[in-house]
Amino acid sequence: MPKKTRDEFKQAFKTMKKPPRPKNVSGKIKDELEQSILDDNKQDFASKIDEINQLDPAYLVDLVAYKLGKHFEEEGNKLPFWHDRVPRNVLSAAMAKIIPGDLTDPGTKRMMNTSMLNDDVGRIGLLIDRDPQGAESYLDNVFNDKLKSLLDLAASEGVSSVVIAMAAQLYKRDPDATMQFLLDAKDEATHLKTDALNKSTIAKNQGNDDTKDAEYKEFLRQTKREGEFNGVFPGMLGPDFGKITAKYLLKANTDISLEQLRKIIGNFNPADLRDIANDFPKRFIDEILSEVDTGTRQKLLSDPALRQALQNADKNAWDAFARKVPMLRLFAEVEARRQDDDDSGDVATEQNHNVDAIFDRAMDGDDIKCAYVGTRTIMPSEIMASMQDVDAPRTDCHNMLMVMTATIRAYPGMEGIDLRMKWGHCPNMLMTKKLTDIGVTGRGMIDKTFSGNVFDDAGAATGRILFTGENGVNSHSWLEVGGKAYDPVLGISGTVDAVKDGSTFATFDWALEGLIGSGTGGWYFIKDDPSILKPEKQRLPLAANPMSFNTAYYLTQDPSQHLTPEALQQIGL
Amino acid sequence: MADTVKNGWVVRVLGVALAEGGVDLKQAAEAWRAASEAVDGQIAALQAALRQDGDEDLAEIAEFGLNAITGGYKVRFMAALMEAEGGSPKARATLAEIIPGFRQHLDSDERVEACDENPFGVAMSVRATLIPALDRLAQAVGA
Repeated sequence: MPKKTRDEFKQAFKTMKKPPRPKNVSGKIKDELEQSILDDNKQDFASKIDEINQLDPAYLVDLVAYKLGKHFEEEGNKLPFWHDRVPRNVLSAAMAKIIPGDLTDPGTKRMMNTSMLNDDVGRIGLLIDRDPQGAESYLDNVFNDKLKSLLDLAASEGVSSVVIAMAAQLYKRDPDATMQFLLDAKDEATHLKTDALNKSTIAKNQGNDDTKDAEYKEFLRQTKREGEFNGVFPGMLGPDFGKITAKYLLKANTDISLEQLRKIIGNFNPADLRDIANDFPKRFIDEILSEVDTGTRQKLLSDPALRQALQNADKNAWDAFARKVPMLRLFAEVEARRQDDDDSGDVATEQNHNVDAIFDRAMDGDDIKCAYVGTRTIMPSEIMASMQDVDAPRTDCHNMLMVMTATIRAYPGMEGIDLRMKWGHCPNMLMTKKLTDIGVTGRGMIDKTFSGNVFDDAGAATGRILFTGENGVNSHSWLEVGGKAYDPVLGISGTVDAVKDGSTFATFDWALEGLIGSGTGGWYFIKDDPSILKPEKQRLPLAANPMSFNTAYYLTQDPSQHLTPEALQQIGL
Repeated sequence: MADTVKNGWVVRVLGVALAEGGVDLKQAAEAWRAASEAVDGQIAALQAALRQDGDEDLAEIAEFGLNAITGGYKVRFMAALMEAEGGSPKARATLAEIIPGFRQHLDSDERVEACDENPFGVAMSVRATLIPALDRLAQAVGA
């Protein structure tokens, strides 16, 4: 058998060889990818990685594995790009190519032992990436002092995976002490960073270049260290550590640990959240869900599986909580109504019926209370998930659609609804029919007893509203699902055409920007503005209203009755 | 002679139960272990030679690289084999699933080839030792 040369032998064991570029990945993309690293442009890098992943995922895995191996020993910014800024699944697959065996493999375990002995945090990080669960078990047997020293070293070298793994392991043992350790370490890094920068500046002024450079290097090291400590809490939100962190923060049961958990729990993955719900249902409800900000509450409660898990785990606690949250009150009512309906057996049909029921309940019930205002917006989460009993919050039509959309998405059985749901809108300005002629009086966010902001030639209120939108465009929106439109502002639903026809008197474009609109049916609207109106015209009697309709308009087919000659000339009449 | 008659004779006269393919799992497993230990010994000898060479790259291969020649199959394989010997049909099926990939790896991996053809004076026969033993196990579990 012919023998290999030494070089051939070494080559065979080289971690990864440069993968040949497949034909479907152009040299241009590859060049742009490399250039994005040179330019330190993370956005471009992510975009090119995404593009290659679409074209040839297997090649991307090989490329990442090759690059990780190539840049592992180098200083500089290349490794963080290939390690931190590629999709997690790609990184895992690449790691499996570099280190074939997980930590049950004696060879891989030996590699971990050696790396721990040598404080080789870079290699430890790779092994953690390769087998996070195995690493967690391995670290169970490592002393606290060793974990802390590795954590600090990894922070200085910017190896986030080691920082997170060590911190999570320390959390398991003593959450509050770990929290304190991390906060102290962060403060120390902040102090040392400032100190090093000051010393570097002084040395520069004294012309001592060696000291200046050394202190500046220390400044960069402490900056990195501070950044890692700052990032450790969000960093723990990964799929492997979120659950552990939450459980131990709950077990620690101190003000600081609970406060910390409330801040981070919104980013936990759904499976971890369900586990936590199963293990600590009442505490999850009383100490987390009831106390987090409304945005986090809405986000967490939008997962039907989490809601179900909590309900199954502690029905009494859940029911008491659900009565206090608008979106949950609405869901309970909708579920009760839908229970009486026959199951059609068709997903799309069932989803359509769900949307009908949600819309009807939002319009007719008082679970989600919201009235119209043209100018002020309130976050959808405040409407859906606030536990404060606020008197009729107000929002505009676009924001209300966000509420409707988020509510529909969060209802059980609505998987894939986004593909069938869209917002319809009037591209220009919309004048409604008489409000009392639209749907049912008392239904919808607008108060239909309002006399309107549009007046006839004689100056009498018409009961109509003119929506001017964003300076004449996109004045009104509604939701469309499965060919049906839902307009929460005006409280009507039906086919898209029926909703448009049922509410629209005329649509307009500017004839004179900001002042006069020219519309369908030969109609004009004219703003109640003395600069364009004849001097004898009185100001229109716009009724005070809480919906912020503060501008009145004439509706006319004969603008010459109202406009000055100059204004008429400006619109070409 | 029909297979059932042959198997009956083996059980009666030799006192061992044959698998469907006519190869006894227990014996095949023992043969595998012997082969595996022989290869482990060869690897240990190669490791020692690489460490003594004084070359940093070779020391690195001795420390971390030689482990990779079993391609991450060995531990899963050994675990399934042990359970299969204990009579677990599930483990037997797992073993049957693992063997083709493991064989393919041994047959094609250039690191295995590099070991067998190493220039350091260590006699190695990873493929020649492991593949026949693996084939025998494959017959035993019907892989």
